[in-house]
Amino acid sequence: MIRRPTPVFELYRWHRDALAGRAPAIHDGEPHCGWFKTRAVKGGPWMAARIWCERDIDPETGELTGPEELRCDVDGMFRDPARAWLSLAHNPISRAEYDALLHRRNLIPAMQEPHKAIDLSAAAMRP
Amino acid sequence: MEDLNPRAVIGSNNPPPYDPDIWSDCAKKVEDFTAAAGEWLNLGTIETQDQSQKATDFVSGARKTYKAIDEARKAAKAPHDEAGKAVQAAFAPLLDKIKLSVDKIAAMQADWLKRENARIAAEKAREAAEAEAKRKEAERLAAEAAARNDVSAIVDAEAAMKEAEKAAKAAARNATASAASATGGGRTMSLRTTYECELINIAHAFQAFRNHPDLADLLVRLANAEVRSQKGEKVAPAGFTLIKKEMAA
Repeated sequence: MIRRPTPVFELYRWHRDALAGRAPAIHDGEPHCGWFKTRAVKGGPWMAARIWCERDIDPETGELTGPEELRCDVDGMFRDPARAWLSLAHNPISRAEYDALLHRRNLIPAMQEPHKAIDLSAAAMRP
Repeated sequence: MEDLNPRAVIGSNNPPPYDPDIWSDCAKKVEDFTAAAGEWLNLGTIETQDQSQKATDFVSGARKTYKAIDEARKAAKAPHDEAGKAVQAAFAPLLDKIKLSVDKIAAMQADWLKRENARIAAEKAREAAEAEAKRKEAERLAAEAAARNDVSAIVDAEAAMKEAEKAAKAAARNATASAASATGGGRTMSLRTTYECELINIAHAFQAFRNHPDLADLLVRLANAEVRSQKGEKVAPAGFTLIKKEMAA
């Protein structure tokens, strides 16, 4: 049986619709590819997250050699995308914002403690 | 050599009415935020989403700092507020008692002075009537003396006329009752007339005060409250135009 890989356009359709404000449906346990932000605790720093599709494609035939599987990474830690989905789905962000969040995490020490609420009065945010 | 206590200087036994360490911590935070505000202002305008998001964090942090400093202010002020309340609680009942005593007796005095004024007015009326009668009698006697060519009687009649005029002047003099001090140490009391207004026609009242700035301020305040309470599309009340202002919050 010939198995064509799912087009990238399709893989990221949900995420594209969410960013465009079309409010696609969110179902528990049904994750979709994209970039997201989330928090570990109330008042805690944003953590960059992404869900992507891992698949092996035969370079000669362009067909799948195995199943397509969704993977998830939250703040550099691998997570089960189905279980993480509900905490990510409400905060989709663009790829640019995802990259900016990762960059900012390295610059602002408070963002490197995801389980601690951020006290913005401790030091003034500078431009 | 002994280490000198840094507070062992003239005037150091007069500390500020708040904890200077807490104030100093607050001052350091303010310095940090005002310095950061200067850096933000040096940008000129916010041009990127990254700057905008950081500006949000600056404002959140600054507002949280404001709240924390305000809490510190209230905590520092609290013992003084309590002391003020204790002073009020101690002295206010005394003042209330004295004031009530004064008000009660002043009311009695007012009643006495009203009755005295009525008595004086009645006496004045009587004196005026007597003076008028004397004047008429003097006129009659003068006419009779003139008719008789009785020089002595004419002079007597003129004297009687002058007396009658004097009495009439005295009767016409305004007199009101007053209550003088028994010992000389107290201030003389008399009736004081005050006036209060009762609203009977609001339209006329508006006309009367239409140029008063306080009326305009009140109407603007009422209109703003009305617009704030409106749901959906905002409509200016009659006599007003809506001005839309936008600010980041």
